[in-house]
Amino acid sequence: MSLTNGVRKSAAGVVKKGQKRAMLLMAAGILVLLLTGVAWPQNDDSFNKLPVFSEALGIIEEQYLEPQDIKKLIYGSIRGIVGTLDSHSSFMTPEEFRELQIETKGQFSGIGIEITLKDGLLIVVSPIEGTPAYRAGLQAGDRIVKINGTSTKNMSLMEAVKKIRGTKGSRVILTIMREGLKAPKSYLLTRDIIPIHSVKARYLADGIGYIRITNFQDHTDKDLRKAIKALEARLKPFRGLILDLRNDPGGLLDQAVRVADEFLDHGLIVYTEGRDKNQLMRFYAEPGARNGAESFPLVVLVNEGSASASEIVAGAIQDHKRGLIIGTKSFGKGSVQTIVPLEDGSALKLTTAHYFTPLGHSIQEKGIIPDLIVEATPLPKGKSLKALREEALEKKMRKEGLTDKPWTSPISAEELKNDPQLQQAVETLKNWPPAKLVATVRGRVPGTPPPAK
Amino acid sequence: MKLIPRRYLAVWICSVLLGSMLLAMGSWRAFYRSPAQAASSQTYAQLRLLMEALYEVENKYVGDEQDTSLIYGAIRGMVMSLDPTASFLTPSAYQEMLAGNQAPIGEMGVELTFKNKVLTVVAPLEGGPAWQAGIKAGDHILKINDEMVRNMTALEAAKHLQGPPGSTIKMQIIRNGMIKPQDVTITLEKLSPVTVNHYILEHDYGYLRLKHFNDQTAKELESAVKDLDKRRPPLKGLILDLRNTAGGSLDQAIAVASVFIGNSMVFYTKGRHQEQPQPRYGQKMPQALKDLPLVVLVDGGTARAAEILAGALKDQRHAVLLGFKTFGNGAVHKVFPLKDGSALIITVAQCYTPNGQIIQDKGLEPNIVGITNGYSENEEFEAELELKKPQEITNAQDLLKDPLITQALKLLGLEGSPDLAKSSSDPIAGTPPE
Repeated sequence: MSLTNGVRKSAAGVVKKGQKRAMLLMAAGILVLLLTGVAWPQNDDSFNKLPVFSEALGIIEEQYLEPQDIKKLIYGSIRGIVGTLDSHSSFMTPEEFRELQIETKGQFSGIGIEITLKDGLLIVVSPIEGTPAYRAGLQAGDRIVKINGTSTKNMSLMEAVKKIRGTKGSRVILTIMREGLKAPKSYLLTRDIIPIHSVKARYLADGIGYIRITNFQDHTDKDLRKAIKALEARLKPFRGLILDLRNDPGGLLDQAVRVADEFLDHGLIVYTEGRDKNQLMRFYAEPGARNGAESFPLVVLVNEGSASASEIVAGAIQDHKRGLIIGTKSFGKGSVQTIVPLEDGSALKLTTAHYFTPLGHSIQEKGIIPDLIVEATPLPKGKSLKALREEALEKKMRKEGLTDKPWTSPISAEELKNDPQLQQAVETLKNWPPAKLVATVRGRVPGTPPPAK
Repeated sequence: MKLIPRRYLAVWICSVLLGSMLLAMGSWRAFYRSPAQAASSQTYAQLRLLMEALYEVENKYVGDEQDTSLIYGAIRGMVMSLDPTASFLTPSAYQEMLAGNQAPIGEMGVELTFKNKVLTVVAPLEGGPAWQAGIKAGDHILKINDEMVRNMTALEAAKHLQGPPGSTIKMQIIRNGMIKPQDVTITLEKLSPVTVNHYILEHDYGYLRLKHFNDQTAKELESAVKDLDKRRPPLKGLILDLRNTAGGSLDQAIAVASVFIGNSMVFYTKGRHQEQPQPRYGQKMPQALKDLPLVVLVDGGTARAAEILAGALKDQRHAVLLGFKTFGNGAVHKVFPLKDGSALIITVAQCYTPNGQIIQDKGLEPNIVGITNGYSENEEFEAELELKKPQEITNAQDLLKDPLITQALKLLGLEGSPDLAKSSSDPIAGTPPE
């Protein structure tokens, strides 16, 4: 996922635009003769070139080996247009757009299982705790053979997901095979709202909290606040927080701002520059301290998988010297994408602006350079690539990670040993404040653009 | 303030242009098809969608993209949604194609396609720079000179892999099983014009290697066949190696097939506007080694002209195909120039073997599946993940290390009589189209 902005806002906008356009289209017939001589205000070229496009379309419709669905051709064309732009711009079919909306909303209606296709078989990766699937007793590794009596043979993952999802309160029957079962077993499940959590917390025995943000979606800020409160309540004294943004690909811009705001009591968080240089957007922290979240010792972990929204948060915290950034150079994606819904339910994702850290650093390609560079564990020697890959896949299947254990079970010494970056974070918090942050001058960050009126 | 009227104007102009566009399409249709068929409302709605997308990009995208590139991008995207062999040529690319290759160009010797939208090597040319660098059939090319491969057709990608001889090109490739993409730098060369090698194996068997197809291949093959024919005592069998032989035109396939099958049918084509199959025949010429049992080695890198040749030899000369399923590229393309000087190359028909088997996408199944070498699966897997130069073939002894060639020899030796051909041909063949 990438940094996106204003999904719903634009969606609302398009309805009005559509109505206007319908009226205008009617008026257009009368105006044809009057306007044919009028030049396009700025860029008339692509519209002048449209006849070339229609010529090509005509040839394909008439001459290509088989008759083609025009919708497929037009979708192909729009993909081609977007393909001439930067690599973060893309086109989404209505189906893909709906998927994205579900992803960024942070919840969906279903039964609460993650599924995958392995060797052509539909497998339950894991039931999500507290969901209908979990309560019914579905297990990781279960093979789904039928959905509502329909065989899953040759079914694509997308298709299966579609069949399993549905509105809250509706029902679905899954027939599964499991090792040890003599015959397939059917489960009747009532769908419910399934939250997707983007914030996961655990703690260390030494009064240090650990929070991992997996991506930036709706409610990430609220979940974060809740997690910080819970840690503060449990850990007395609270000696600091490790905010883990490693492998966090980003998400919503406003969420990045709000997450950064949790840690800052004032000042600029990020600003963007769009096509129109006058339309500079600046995002500030809400003034005033809250819950003490603005003052406890803070370490942020980043790596080359931290992108976009993660980089905004890390950049703001670094520029304000609010915390120490540890890890490896981040990904370097400093552009903002806006979702532009089109009239048939498909959508464009366009890069509409570039963003900059409070001190005016562009993230694009440069990334965030940690205050303290600590590499991850190197690949163990003597292990074959194949074995390594399978292990990685297994791990993913089991969703093994620091935060998959209950948050009340402290991170063990063993877990720390396997993660030198996390270990360094702990060391840093134990010896707070680090030299790099001592020179902190609280106040306006130098070099920030003057506040907008 | 200023923005609002402009927006209205934009919408007006959009609709006006849409109207004129549909008119243009209508007249185009009228030109090619007598009853002027009005663009359906579905077409109208879809074109409006395209205009909406164009409008949004023009107004919101952060960079300043060139406008013609948007429309050319649209046409390219449309063409690429058809099949991975279709192309769009900008006016300059089309001019270049019409003029032909002038300067001696350096190449790396790879045939390319798009597989699931990823640029993929169909086959490296044996002995060519890419082959020397360890590139294999099926390798995916992610970047060329640090630029991500996107929004280009296979033809355009091939252009990116050409340059002056001696210059280098850096590619990032990934192979199924690799954990991370690898960079490889390849020095371009003017490819050797020699396309055919031949050897005598085990004293009594002829081996012909056809590395790729060019206009000289048929002549080269003819003289190689004559050479083998002169051999005394006469040969007992022939192996034609078409593994990793990709590329070539349909005409080249016909010329080469003529050496083996004379003026028999090489293939036939069928298309949307061709009610009747159109057969293509070889040229009449003296037939050497005519009755010799023939084993043709094929694999996933056997594509295009080589596949057509393999199909013709199987159907018309009772050759045994040994190895693995071929690539499956038997499309017939046609160039359509557009009014502004650009052009489309799209598939208009497909090739079928004389016995009626389609080649496109399906490929040809071997009569006998090849055995792989004796590595354990794991060892082979690890070995395959390294980019290293394959073994060069300099004499007949080298060839005998190749498991498929030993298998072919066994097949020819076991049999030693023309029965091999008879037993293998009929059950597979379909009905000839006539």
